[in-house]
Amino acid sequence: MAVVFIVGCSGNIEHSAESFTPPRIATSAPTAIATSAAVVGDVAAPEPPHATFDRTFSLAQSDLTFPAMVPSQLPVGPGGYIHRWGVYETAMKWSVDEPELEPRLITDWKMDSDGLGWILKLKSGVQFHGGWGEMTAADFVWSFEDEIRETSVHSGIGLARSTGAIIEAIDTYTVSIRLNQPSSFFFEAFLSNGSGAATKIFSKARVGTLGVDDAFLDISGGTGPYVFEKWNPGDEVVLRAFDGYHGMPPYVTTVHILEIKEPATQLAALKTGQIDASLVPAPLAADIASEPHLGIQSFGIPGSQRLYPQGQFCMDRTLDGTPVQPYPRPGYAPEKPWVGDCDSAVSLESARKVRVAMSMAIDRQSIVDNILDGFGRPSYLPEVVPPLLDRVWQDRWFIPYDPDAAKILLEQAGYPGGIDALMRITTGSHPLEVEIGQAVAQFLGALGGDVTTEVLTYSGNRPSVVAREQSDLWFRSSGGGTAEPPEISQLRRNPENAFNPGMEIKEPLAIISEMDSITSSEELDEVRERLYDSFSHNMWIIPVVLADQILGMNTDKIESWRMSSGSGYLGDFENIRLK
Amino acid sequence: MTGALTLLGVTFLVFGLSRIQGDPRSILISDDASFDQWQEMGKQLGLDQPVYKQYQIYVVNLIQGELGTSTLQKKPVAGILLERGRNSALLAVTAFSLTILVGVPLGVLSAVKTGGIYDYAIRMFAVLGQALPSYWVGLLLILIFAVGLDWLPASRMSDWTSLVLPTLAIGWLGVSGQIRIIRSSMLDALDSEYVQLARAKGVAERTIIWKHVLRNAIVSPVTFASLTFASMLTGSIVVETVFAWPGLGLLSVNALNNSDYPILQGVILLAALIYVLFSFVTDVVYMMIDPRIRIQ
Repeated sequence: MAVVFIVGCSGNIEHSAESFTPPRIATSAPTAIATSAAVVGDVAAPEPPHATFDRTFSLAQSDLTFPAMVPSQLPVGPGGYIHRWGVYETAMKWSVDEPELEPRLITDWKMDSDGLGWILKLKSGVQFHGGWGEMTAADFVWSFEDEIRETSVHSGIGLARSTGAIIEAIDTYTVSIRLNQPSSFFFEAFLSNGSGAATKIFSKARVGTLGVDDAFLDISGGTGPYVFEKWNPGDEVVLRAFDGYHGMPPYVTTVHILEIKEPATQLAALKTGQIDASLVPAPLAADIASEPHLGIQSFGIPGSQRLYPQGQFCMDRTLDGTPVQPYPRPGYAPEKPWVGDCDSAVSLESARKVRVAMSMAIDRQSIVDNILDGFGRPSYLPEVVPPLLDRVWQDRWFIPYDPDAAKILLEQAGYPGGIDALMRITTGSHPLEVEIGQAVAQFLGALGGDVTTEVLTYSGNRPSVVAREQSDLWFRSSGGGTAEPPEISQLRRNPENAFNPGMEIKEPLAIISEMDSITSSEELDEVRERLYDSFSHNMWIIPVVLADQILGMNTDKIESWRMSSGSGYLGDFENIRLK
Repeated sequence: MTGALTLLGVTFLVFGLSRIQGDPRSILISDDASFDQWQEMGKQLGLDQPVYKQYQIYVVNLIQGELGTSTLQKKPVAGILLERGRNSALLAVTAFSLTILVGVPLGVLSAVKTGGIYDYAIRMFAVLGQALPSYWVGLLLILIFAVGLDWLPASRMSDWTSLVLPTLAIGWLGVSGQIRIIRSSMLDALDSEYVQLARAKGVAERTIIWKHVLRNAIVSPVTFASLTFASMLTGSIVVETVFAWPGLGLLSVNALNNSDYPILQGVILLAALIYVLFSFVTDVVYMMIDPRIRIQ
């Protein structure tokens, strides 16, 4: 996850669109470009055309679930489409060239001298689609307030509330945001397009006029380069270039996004020219790359695949010091080797050794080579993904594949014959998650115990996670994003989170509190290093691999498609150039 | 009465299975939401009620003709079923036509030429059609006719050409079943005394086969055809998924993935209703083609 260092800057910092300096620059590039005879990307963009040309582009996607067109009702998954596809916009946007933010709906911004707030100057003349008028500060404020209202399902709601964020309109084009404590994640999470938490700007008048129920289904809103022409759930979405766009008109004038669930059919459609692009499962990437008119490239942020040793319910106070009741939780199982007795330091140390042994028993590189066909990398830190990962990486966090050392640790922990475990593998995020999960189970089983697996959907498993009933192993994958790392979010809100994979642990709370009070980027780096030291030492969550997103495309038609570095979604259609 | 009881049983089964499968809040609510929000949305969706109470509400609404509203799409389920049902019906009609137009003549030919080269070839064709999974057949058809020969589109619903491959993928199974059942019934009938009598009286072989034998052998194939058409109408999950055909099968896959209970319940209930209806129609057709059944 890339983290914004804005709060670390002291004094007033002003930026304008003309001489804009990014809020922070990571030192490494995002995901590498993969190979083929006709790799696309990195091509200088030609001048955008007039919108009178009809340039059509089509791609396949496995799911076109309709999200919602009201901020407070946008689910995090499909909710991300609407800004990544360029229909709705955020204040800032990840650059396509560097892992840095650039303004989109604002012209400049200024940080308050105490580091607890920002003044945003909005771009004037930004028109909403559908004739809903010009975007003003009132729309900006309403969009943010609606998404963090009491009943909202918005994914950033926890962070917003923990920081006490208040947003106000100063005048027609000026907005003020104030927090009651520093946050190293707030700016990026809400004002960039890097995650599902991004604050998309909706027309207040549209929802006011239509009412929430009709606005939910209405696709006329947005300020981006594309308008929704059609959204047929489970079938097709059509985007058209917006004539009144406030920025450069997009080169591609029509985008057809087709739902094709079966990956093999997607590739057949790609090979026959029925579509121009689609995601490609890693084992089929070489086949696509070998086609004379097709090419592949990795894009965005790789998804995280990790193992939760569930049942660690040892938190007795929340981050703000509130006592946690009742204690213990239903899923608290001190007899599980990876959990231990919360009231016994000796038992907890044994459990730690078991978790470290489990981590050392996994041959991550082998999974990358044999299941992901090289399209990924081993993961050693929980849900910390590029570009932040490369910037903060320390060699001491490397976890060697060493089953012999793992067995010694298990013996020390009192499990010389290995551990017996049930591992649940949940599906729905990555085409190879079951294969990877089963490989992990085999590695754990090789330590001597009996490790069985059960495959089920994420939605089928989550209610038991919410109820804190689980104390087994859970292998899960998810897409990459750039908001606050989920572990930190969970620890902020535990035990009241609607997602609790058994990570109610005390130790990192002090470090997170410390992070929340920091005002310089150097200090933040130092504290974050300690946080990751702590995760690496204790293996509360066992990272496995980061799996790349692979895009296959018709290189006879597409000259370049430069996607911004901030997430793992397909999008940025305005950056497509055709031959 | 039997049909009504069947439907009631289906509502119970569908309701229970959909609850086991997952929880729509897992899709709708982010990981970062609070436990209170999770509970609140449960109230909005009626999930806070005991399961028997949820079932009671569901059945009462059904009796009132209310299928509910899609959890994700926020549209009435009936409208969505109608829209997707049309697409499945189009595919079903073409596949069923193929089943009858190809299956019946080949079944008759196989029976008449029993033991010969035609019989072996047709039986091989039928065995393959029943043995090969339609998923694999679909992908093979795409590979040959779309990727290899570039004659037909690989997927999705567009003009008439897009109907060809999914029709073949679904229809081959129907054709195969029809061939085997007609052949078997015909062979029984061909051995009967009335056929021997007709031959002895010098009735033309064509008349014997098409007028006397086929008519007496048709009851079992009609049953099979009826159930085949019903299954085609309710949408093939596998074929619609492979060909990205926006019918009821694909709709149910999406509903399953997203735990959209109302849609899932609607699709399965519709399927049960179609089966019950076709069973009734089949009984009526029996009476039309065999007067002995009418008398009984």
